Amino acid sequence: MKRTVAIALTLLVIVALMVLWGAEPIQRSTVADEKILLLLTNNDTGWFFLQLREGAQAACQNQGALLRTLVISSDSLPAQLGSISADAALVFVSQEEDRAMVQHFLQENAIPYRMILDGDEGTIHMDERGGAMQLARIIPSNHTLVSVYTDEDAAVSERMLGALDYMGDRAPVKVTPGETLPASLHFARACLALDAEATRYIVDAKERGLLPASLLLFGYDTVETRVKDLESGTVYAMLMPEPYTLGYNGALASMTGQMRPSPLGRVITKRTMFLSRNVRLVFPLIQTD
Amino acid sequence: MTNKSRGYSLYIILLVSFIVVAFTVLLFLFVTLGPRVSSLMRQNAVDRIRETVQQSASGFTQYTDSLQSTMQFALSILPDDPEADDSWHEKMGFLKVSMPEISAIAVFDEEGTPFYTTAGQLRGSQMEVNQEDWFLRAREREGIITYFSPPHVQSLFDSQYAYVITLSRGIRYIQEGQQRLGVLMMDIYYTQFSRLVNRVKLGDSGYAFVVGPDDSIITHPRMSQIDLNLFNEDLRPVADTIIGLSDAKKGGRDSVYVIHSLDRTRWRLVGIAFVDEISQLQTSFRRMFVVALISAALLAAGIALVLTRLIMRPLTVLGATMLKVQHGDLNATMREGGFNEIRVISDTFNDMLYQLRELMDQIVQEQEKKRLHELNALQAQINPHFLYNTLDSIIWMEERGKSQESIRMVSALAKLFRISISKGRNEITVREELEHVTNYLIIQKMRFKEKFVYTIDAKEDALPLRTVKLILQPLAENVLNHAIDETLGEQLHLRITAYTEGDDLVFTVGDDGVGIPEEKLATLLTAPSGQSGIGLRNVHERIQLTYGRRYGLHIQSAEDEGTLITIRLPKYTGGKA
Amino acid sequence: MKRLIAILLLLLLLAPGAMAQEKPITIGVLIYNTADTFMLSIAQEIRSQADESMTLLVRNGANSQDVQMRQVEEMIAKPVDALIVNPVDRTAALFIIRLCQKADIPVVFINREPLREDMELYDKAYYVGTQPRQQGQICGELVAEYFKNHPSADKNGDGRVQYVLLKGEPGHQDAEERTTYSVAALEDAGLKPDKLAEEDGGWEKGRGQQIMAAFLSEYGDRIEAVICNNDDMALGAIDALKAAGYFSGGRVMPVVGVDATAPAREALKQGTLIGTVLNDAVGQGAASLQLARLLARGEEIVNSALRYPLQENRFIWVPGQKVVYEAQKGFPGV
Repeated sequence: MKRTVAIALTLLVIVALMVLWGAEPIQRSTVADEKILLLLTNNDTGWFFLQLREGAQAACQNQGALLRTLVISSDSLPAQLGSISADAALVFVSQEEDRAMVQHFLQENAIPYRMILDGDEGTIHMDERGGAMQLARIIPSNHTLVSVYTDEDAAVSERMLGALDYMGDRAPVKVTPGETLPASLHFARACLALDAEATRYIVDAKERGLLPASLLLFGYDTVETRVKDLESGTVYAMLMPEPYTLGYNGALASMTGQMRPSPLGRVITKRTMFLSRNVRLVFPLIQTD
Repeated sequence: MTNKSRGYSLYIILLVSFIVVAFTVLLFLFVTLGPRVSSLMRQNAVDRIRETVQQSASGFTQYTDSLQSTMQFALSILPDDPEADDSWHEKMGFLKVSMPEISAIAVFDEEGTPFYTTAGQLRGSQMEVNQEDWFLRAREREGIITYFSPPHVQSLFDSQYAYVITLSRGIRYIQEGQQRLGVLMMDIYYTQFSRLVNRVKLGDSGYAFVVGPDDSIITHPRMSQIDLNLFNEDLRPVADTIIGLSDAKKGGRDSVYVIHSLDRTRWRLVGIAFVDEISQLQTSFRRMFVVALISAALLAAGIALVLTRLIMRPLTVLGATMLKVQHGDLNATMREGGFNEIRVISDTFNDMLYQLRELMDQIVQEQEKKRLHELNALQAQINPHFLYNTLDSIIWMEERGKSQESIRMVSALAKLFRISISKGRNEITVREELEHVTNYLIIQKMRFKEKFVYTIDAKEDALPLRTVKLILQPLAENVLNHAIDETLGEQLHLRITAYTEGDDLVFTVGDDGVGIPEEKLATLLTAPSGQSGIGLRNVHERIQLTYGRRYGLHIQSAEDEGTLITIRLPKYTGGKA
Repeated sequence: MKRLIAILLLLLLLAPGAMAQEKPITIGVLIYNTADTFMLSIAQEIRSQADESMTLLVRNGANSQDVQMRQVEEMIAKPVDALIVNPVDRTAALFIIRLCQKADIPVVFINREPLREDMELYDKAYYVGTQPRQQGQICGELVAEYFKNHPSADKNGDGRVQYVLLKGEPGHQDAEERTTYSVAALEDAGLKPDKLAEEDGGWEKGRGQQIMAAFLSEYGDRIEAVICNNDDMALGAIDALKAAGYFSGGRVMPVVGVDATAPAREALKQGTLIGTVLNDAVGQGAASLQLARLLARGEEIVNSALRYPLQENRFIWVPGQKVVYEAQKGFPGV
């Protein structure tokens, strides 16, 4: 009999435990569980940053995390760093010394981070080569093409490589704003401007009549020229960057380590500039949500 | 030892039956109720989602209706001939300013030339206007229905770019006496609409968005991500279902699509909710149900165990006790088991055992008695006084030279003892018994001489019958001992007979002696064995022990008259030794 | 045995023929709101036209598109062989069309017309209704005729008709079209219409009266004609006119309406209403059921099988009729 009682008691205990487990309410994630992503920048004005932040915000929302922004300035940087507490960080700082300080701090405190545009390896950036290929691809092949640039930095070199197949045997020509036009441009029917300054340079020349209106200009954006010049046809097509996507990718990479492909940017023409899906690229300051 | 039979354990059978029945019942409940309750809960959760979507759709429609009223109001401001006077321009401007959600209002003639716009000049020419979708559609609907455009950047106006949804309607106006169809256009900021929809919460990760008549997205909480190819909203369930409720898998999770018409806009509100979120109750219910099932099963098993034990225990105890008895322990008793049925068995068993013990005791007792009696009989066979006296007589006779008499006495003694022993047999023939008593009487006659005379009278048919030995001689001895001493001078007559009567064999030993007083008579055969009355009682008991209570001695006596002892035996005794 | 086979074969041959005669069909009838007496009369007409071979499932949408959508789902789930729908919201009819298309159930819309572009999505979508433009035209013609027969009606003799118009509901197809085309008909008749005032009466008699009273106080005797989109409002306007002293002592005012309701006919008799237009509920009901029956049976739609011809492969227009009262003749054409 004792053995039976023992068995019965054991079963009873098991049952009691199970009831307790079953009755336990399904836990919801509490606010305390939310991770914090800190976005560091030295300039929070400007459409590029605003779009970037929107993208990071969206990624945070999808992950159930919180986005905080910190605007750093060179003078108060050390003090500001002291106040930081975050689970991950996104760094969009143009000043090299400030950037290095921030990077050092983050490494010291073992906070996973990503750089945007400027930084060393693992930085989130645009796919310049692919983007340039996209842009160059739509240049009519029977148009004599001349490519121009003002400064051969890393981005421009990448673009050159991307557009290489379309440039024919004409090497890109370095131009300097304020100086005279290179002669080859007068014979061109199409022009590929590989950076914003170069684009503005050609637009200026066209507006002043130094270059014919029929010259098809394919360029990279500037804030000023973007809309008016597309509409007027002065610029035929522009490659717009995708700061929203950069912010999104950066936030995702810094929070989860997942790397998404670098955005190519989007080719915008007069026909497509008012399309709903391009509104964030062409009119980044318009409120859309 | 009987063979132990091998069979099935009742304990196991009961236990298994209990558990099987309990399990089957619970399983049945689980299988029939579980899914029903589960699906009821799911239905409940889905209904709530549907309600939420319906309410959101109502709210949305309220807003679009208010916009349509505003259009109506703008229409009423418009005179039949818009060119006749332009006082309405100001009113239109006020209307626009009074409602911050309006980006621009404009009125166009049938060719697309503006009568008036609140945003000033057109960027391009009227040629562009009359290609616009909102312009064409408004005219198609002939001023009866308002056209709601998909979201777009309004690039018509020189002064601004705005991200809007355009509402347009045909308007009838009179120009040169002719009625014509122009268009009233009102741009509403896109965020007004997106704001309404992005707020909708359906569970933790559920959301809602608006689609147009061609199933394209009008507004979506993740519109930016969709435009930048960071997120894809699969619209196939929307195209397949059109309106109403449907189930689909979204990212591997079970989800519910609720599609609701947004009246008077040709749009629809699509709500997506994830089943595991909306019916958390269902998941926890399922959990509880499983827990309940398993607990109930375990409890059933436990109860089955205990119950079976309870039932089986008395039976096993009974079995064990019986085993003990089988091994010789007759003193084993069953303690009362709990159930009445078991109680009956154990009580009966105990009684049985008690009776068995009693019987066995009785047998033992009787065996002992028999032994005792046989011993006594044996003892009686070797009565020392008799022997001593007899031998003395023989010596006396020898000394006096009476060798004939001494020979006779010796041979009689020899014969007496021979029959006494009878080679150890318990039963001898009547003839032999009579011979035995005769020899005794011969001897005693030689001693007592004329003090008594005896006659032995036996029927022929009685002679070959069998009897317990040494029953007559003790009786005769008794007579000689007691009847003779008292009569002084009178010769005692002793008569012994043997005959059959019915199925009985009867001996009588009668005398005409002093008789036995009444008090003594009563207790003669029954008093506990002691010294006195050994002979009579011994014989009586021996006869009874051997043949049964029906037989034995019967004593009749009257004082001074005599005594008659009747010995009754069965006629047919079988061949017992 | 041979005879048995012969009988069986005979039965088999006959059976399809027998079945083709009376295949039982189910037709769903969804009304936007049975509290609307006009629609109720259409529904009643449909019911009365039904025969034993068909089952009608009639549902009331109670003026809620949501409710009606669920009724559509119900019908499709059964499924019915054809659907007659009087939609609550014309723009949402698009979804009804798409749902019916997906289920391959023919649908006949009645009295509230879906957009053309939506009808064109599905080849088995039809519409039965009146053409309010035609009704409006008749209204205009009635006024024009009156002016021709009564030159004194043109009070200021300018050859134009100064009219006031009582409109139905804003945005309502019937209201818009009747309004537009009654005015257009006046123009076509050579009487240049001159709108003094136009206002929405919401189809209601009471409001009609209020509006007319307001018109009278503003324009007084300048009004030469009163055009109303329906009889109820016209009767209200007549009340207002009576209160202002018209229809007695020789003061008259031409008033026209639409629907030819019983009280309107009374007014016609009394001469307060000069004319109205029959909005043929019976015709619409019968035509829609007739069409639905053919569609449910999968039979070919030929004009010979229909009371009113099928136009553009999907429209049946039930014409309105002019209703006036001629003494000793009663109501012609009715």
